Amino acid sequence: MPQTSSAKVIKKENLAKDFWLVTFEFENDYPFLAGQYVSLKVAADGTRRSYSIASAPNGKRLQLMVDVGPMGVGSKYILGLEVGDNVEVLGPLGRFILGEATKNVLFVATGSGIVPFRPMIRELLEKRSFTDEIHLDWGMRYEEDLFWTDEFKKLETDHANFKFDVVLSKPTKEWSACSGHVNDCLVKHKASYLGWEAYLCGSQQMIGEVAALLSGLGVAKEDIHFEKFF
Amino acid sequence: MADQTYTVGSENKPTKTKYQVKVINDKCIGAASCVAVAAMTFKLNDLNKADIIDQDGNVDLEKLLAAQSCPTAAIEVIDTATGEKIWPK
Repeated sequence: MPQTSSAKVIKKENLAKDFWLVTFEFENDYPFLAGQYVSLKVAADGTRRSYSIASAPNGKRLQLMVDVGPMGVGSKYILGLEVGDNVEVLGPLGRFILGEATKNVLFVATGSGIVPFRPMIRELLEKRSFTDEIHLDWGMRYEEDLFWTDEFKKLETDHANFKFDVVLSKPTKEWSACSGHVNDCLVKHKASYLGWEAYLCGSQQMIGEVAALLSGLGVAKEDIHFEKFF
Repeated sequence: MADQTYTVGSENKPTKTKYQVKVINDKCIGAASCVAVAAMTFKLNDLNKADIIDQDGNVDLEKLLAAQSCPTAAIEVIDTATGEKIWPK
């Protein structure tokens, strides 16, 4: 069952336009599983908002990546946080975690839906020494919204079984990679995902569309896992 | 809640809780944060809306945290001892 804990902000970085990476430190070790999220108390009245954990399990530390674009109560709280502030964390929460991973794995994200995939992919590649194929397809609107691309490109260089593709729905003329929606590009990359396992994270619409597409491309229903972002 | 000494996640649940929860169906978007926080009280139904499975499934604090975690404030919490609406405020 989840617990409430206090954590201190030790770093806050603006990685791209609306995307902030905040690093917290707890008094004691904070165990969680890659893919889980926490709920932060974001207002004095007790209002909470959920954010995916962006870092791999690492002792007392935890990172959250927050899209402040919506500019709601959670966004304003995150923007107002300063190094040294204490936050109330409820968690870890969620069952969107890696299974045994015995087959090729496809990760499909839109927007900040990529956040839980960062620790999940690192766990597969670096902790489990996973040798089957791992593909990550990430859909964003604009190139200036992108973050972590260097990190994922390096993982691609270091691990021959990892492939990373960015899909922009509103690319500039100079953008040479895939454009459109993630589902458009999945079909361009492979004609069949028969026998693959898929993890989807992002908008409800994307998840519905991609899940239907992947079912048609051979992925078994029980091998499609998803987490909706709101 | 002064009469209840427990921490979130405690196995020592009271047999009867005083907070009654209610899901406002039209507001529920199926985010499932209530299920993650208070899994013995809430579940998602086939329409991806939260249903209450047991008013006494979780302790009062967990039910309140579940309601406060809902991004659309779709869960109301009433203190049955006083009739006061605890959440949303």
